[in-house]
Amino acid sequence: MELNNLLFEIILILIKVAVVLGLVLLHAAYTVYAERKIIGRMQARLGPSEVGPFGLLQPIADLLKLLTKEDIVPLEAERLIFLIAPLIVLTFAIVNLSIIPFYPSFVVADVNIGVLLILACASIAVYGIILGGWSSGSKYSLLGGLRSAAQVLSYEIPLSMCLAAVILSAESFKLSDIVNHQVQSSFGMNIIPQILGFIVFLICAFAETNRAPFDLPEAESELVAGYITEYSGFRMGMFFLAEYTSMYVMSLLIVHCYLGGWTLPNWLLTIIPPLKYLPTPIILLFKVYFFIFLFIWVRATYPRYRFDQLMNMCWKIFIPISLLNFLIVAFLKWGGF
Amino acid sequence: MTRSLFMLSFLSIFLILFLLLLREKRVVYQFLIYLMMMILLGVVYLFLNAEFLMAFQIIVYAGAILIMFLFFLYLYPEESFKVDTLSIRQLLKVMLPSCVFSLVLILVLLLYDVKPYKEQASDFSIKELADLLYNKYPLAIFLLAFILTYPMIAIYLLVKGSESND
Repeated sequence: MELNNLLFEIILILIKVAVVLGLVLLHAAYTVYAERKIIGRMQARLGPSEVGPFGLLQPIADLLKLLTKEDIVPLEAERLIFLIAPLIVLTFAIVNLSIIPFYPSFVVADVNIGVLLILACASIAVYGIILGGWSSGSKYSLLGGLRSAAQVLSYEIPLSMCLAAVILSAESFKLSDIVNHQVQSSFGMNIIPQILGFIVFLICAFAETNRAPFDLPEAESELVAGYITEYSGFRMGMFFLAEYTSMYVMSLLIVHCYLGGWTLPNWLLTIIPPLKYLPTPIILLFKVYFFIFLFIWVRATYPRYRFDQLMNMCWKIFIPISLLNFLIVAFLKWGGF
Repeated sequence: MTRSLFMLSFLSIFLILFLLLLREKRVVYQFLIYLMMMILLGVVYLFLNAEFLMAFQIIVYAGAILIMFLFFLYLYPEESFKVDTLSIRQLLKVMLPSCVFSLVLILVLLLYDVKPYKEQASDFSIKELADLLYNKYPLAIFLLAFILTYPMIAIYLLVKGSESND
């Protein structure tokens, strides 16, 4: 009987993993299409339109191209590390998905230290980038890797401080508990009492995913393509896939920590009663898509920062603001809000 | 018994990694082995039901501190780190504390059945705590004692060495 239960559990987890992987990887592939299309429109171009109706088959064509291209390893490269580095980045980006709940009862592993595990995976994923940069045997790649390490490490501090404030208010590390706490609170969403934390977290999410305007590790005007310079074929594809998966992870994290996850605040339901009938997955998807659109919108709008500006902003502005946010939350908690 | 076996297997992986670290000549590869040891330590914490400690072990040590270390390695030319291969005597000196540690740990594991940590009532006295640590969790006390003693001996030897040089 116990063996049957164990087998059932394993099969259930495998099904959940397959669903999450399928959904997110498909989303990641079509986000590339959406990005090209949206940025195209913003710059008065058409974007991809040749492959399939409205260019909808473009991601599949890109995938086929990447899979069939030659996988080149430069002579100067440290072969083993060069081959493993993209795998490290992609694996840890995907592992994050197992901790994030997509629905009250749909999560691969609802662990007690969910938020901390996401931070741990993010800090290990950086190794993939810096090792990939170093092992390529190129100056551009090495500089890209070093920039990435400095950037991600620095921005992890305000990001963690903002998360600490969220954890303090929910009194739990579990993401599902954080969402439930927001439902029960008088504000309905953490974004209202923690607006400072939300802004800092959002900006840090851009830096953590190496997205514009913080895409200095792959700044093409200075470093060719940064740590990806020497990569080709499906290994380059892995880096891209990891970047887009990380975008989804960060968007889901923002939605769960600040926007009430799959729920809507009671005050909003009182103002617009028909919203009650919206299915919870649609609410979550709508919120996540908004942030994905924001990632793309910001890329099309803002120019890239200089590296000293990026560091100054983190250490002199975001860290003090995140500490202030933490203090505000502590006072609110003390006051019984 | 199963837990003891798992602990022994973790220990053997630690030892293998330690030997690989000594054998490896390239600094970055040595660093990678050290990183693996740090992550494995996190796994051991997880195995001992200390999930919180595991997360911090990975975020702070494997994530933040070691990346800074790697940064330093990248910014220096590899030649400046070149050292001659260790002689047998030097190797023995390095291995001795680890061998003693491993032997005592194996003895402790064989003598006591390591049980998973269970949450205790928060109002128990110091006497009860001492009784719990010394009688029910000797492994934790042993590890702590070793971790604290090893650097003390190292500092003593370093001071002795510098005195004799003067």
